[in-house]
Amino acid sequence: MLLHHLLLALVSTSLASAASSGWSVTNGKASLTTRANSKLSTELFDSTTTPSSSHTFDIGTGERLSLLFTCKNEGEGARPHQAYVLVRDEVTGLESAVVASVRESGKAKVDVDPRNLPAPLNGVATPLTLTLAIASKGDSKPLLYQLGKIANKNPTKPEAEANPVRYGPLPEITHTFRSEQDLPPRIISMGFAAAVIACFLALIVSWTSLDANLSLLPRRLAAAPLSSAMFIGSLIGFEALLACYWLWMRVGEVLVIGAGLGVVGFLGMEEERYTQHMVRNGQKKLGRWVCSKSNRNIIPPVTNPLIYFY
Amino acid sequence: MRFFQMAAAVLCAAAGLVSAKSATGDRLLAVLDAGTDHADYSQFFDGLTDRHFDITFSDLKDADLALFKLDERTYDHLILFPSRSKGLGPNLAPLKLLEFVNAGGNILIATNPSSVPEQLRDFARELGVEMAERDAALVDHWSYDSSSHESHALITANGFTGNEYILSEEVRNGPPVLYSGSAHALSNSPLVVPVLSAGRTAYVYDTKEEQAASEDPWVSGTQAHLVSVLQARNNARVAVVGSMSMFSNEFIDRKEYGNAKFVRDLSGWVFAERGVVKVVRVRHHLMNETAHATNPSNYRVKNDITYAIELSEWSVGHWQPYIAEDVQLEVIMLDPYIRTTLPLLLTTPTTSVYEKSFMLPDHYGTFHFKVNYKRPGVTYIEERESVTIRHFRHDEYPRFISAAWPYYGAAAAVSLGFLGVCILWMGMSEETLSEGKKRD
Repeated sequence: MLLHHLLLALVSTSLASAASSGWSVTNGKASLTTRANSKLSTELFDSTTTPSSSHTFDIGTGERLSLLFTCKNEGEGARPHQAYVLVRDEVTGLESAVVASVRESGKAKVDVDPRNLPAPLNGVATPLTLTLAIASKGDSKPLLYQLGKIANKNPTKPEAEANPVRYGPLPEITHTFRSEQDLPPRIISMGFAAAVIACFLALIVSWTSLDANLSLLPRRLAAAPLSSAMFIGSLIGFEALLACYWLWMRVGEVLVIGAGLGVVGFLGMEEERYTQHMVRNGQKKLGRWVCSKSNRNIIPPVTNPLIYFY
Repeated sequence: MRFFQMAAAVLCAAAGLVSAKSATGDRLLAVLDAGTDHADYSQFFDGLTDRHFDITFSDLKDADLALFKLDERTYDHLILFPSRSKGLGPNLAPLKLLEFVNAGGNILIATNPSSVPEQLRDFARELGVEMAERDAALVDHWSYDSSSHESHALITANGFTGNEYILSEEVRNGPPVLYSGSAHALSNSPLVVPVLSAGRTAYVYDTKEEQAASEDPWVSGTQAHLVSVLQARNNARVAVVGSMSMFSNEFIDRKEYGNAKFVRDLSGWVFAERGVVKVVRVRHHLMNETAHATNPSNYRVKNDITYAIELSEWSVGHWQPYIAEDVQLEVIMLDPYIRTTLPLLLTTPTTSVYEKSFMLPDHYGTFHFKVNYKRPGVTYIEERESVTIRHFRHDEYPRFISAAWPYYGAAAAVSLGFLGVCILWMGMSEETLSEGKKRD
């Protein structure tokens, strides 16, 4: 029994009931009224005859919906404790109430003006559903009667979101990285590199055409093997050192090794110059250094201790 | 392995410090009125005692009542049931209550419509809760208990919050709650969460002045909130309930309604038995780097790093992993450069680890990593750690680029050419160079 009562109490559906049971609304007139109080359109409603209405009123700026109706309890006019027009936005679920002023005879009058509605309902684009809630203390069955909808002709706000989030996850941000350095097309780089290498090859070719030869080299190497090795070794060493520095070495290491190679190369170079002179001029031994026409423009290699081994 | 050790340490610490099921302490002060007999609420208070709360009962007008002693809170939780008084007394003035909340204490307030002390309304207004005036009652002509079929003041409400941390599943999907009192309106603060709201046909009217008809309701419909909670930014919780009789034995004994479980869940959340989340640790390091380089203070532009945060939830007596899908990490230097969601990587018996690998932005400066996790119903988490992001060193740029191929060729040509000249100088025979020109 209690459960049955409970179910009845909990399930709040409204609707049309026979005229004599509970609260009802009769002689209802819903008119779209302008600011100058002229009625643009009027709809009639009556809860005893029509279950609910779904007419949509398009309200422009400055217009309002005027409602006139009579509340009846068990068929007789009476003043209910609660006579509200519930205005609901179906998208967000927010609902506000506009209180109707009812006289003792049951005649009620209320104006639903969008400008007087709370901010979330004022000026939205979605149509707002109007429902009449008529109820009072005691055992009379209360009435929930859907009147229709009002839609703003000139909405001032965009459509409301269904669930505005307050504390919640924020939109993701991904960082757009600066684009990589712009390089010219590889084919152009390759072309110019090929041009450079072509020049080098042209140099080699021109050397051969100018009768370059290495005919004295075996004799030189045999005549002074250590110093030649040191000389050529230091030159190749310097080139290799440069390549290593370019690829992976650090400046400090390069300077240390470069200093070592420099000493080696200096010793070897002096010896080479001396040997060069001797070989060119067909001399095999130093003997006494005589200043003559042929060696006038040669700086004697007195700084090189190695020559004293010859 | 390290997670396990950390988790075990946390568990031991938790077990040692807290013997109650509440995460913040078990000293509870219940302040009742001269007109209230706490035997009328014995089921509620016995429930609290069963959950290991150490309850001290006191009277509102008690002069010895002190929330603070030597600047330390003497109680962790406060229940305030002023049923008849017009004031709250000097020891519970709104400023003192605010101080209590600022010090981390939780408060549960319930009122009767016939007595809402003005001081209590002031305190509630501080929280963003606009309580109705004195002698205002909530009625619902559609959802009322049959025993009040004349006045409809004893209503049944099932507008439970959808938040899963405040009310458990069985309460949210369970029977409605019996309620007799007034309602309040809420401000738009994100700290306030309505826990129980009235139906769309309910409204609050002034019992002294609006006997004939309701002309100006304080609140109505789904905007009339019956029970609301506030979680302050220091994670202290305050609940405002419009009906003291909801906690009474009379209402709890009505088994067809869900009052017993509702007050159990509500007091559980307010007194920090549920919905308490903490950060166990934060770990970030270069991706693929070994563990010893954890949480460095310097990174380089465009480093690939991995960020992991470990969270744990206190739920009725023990720590358990906290599962969520929207834990976000922000990398901020004045503005967020990156905001990503951290997916759940793994769960240990007491914690859950959220981890993500990403590339640092290509701006250098002082950044900070922030996990700013604020959700209604859960304690607020804000973990912030500063790092420096430096720019590329001179040797961290690409070594060779395609635009420089001609120059590499030129350098090689010069080196090889020089070597060639030297070897030619050593080995070339002058006789063939120019006939007729003799060195003298």
